[in-house]
Amino acid sequence: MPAPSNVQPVASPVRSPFLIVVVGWILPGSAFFFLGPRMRGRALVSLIVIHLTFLFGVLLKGGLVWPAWSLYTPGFSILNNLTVVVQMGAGWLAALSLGAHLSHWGALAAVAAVESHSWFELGSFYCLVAGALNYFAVCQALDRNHKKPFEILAKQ
Amino acid sequence: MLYGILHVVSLVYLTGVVALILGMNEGETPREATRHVLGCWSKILGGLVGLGLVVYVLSLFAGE
Repeated sequence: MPAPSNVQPVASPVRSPFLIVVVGWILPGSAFFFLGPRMRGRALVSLIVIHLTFLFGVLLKGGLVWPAWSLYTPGFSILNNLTVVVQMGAGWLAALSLGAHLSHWGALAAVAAVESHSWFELGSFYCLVAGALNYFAVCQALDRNHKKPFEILAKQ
Repeated sequence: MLYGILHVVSLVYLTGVVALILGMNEGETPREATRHVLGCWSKILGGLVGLGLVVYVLSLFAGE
């Protein structure tokens, strides 16, 4: 069906994929902000949800733990390595958690993972889910950026 | 007992969060998006509960 003559199709601007990936990764859930004002509500929801999920993980004494990368190290486990890779999807949150674990600074002790705690595995799983959700959110934003529909604005 | 409750609450919360992010972009209006999210949540939760039941039944035959 042809568009009426008083309707002017407007193409929404396509953002740089590099920008979406980098900013979307560093600030989890923010990738949808690049897709225009119509996606702002969803962007805000995903930002809050991913941050909350990671926060719950930290409150459960979970977080990132630097794994053994060498096959010959006694404590090597491929699952630990994959876990860290996925958890790193949470951007600055993951960097903070990993930094707290590696640096042993007193100021960051509250956000460091406590491996001996009984809730550590559950908490780390929350962080894993947050990281995976951000990977997914960035991919979805990239996909929608590429295939953005035309917005039809009716002339007054 | 708290540990078990925590796991059940975590199951509900994490499946909800995953369903929210997956389903939120499926509909153009908030109503459609809500329907998609709730549908996705029920499928994920139902699937995981079903899997848990299967594992529980299999564990009864573990022989220990």
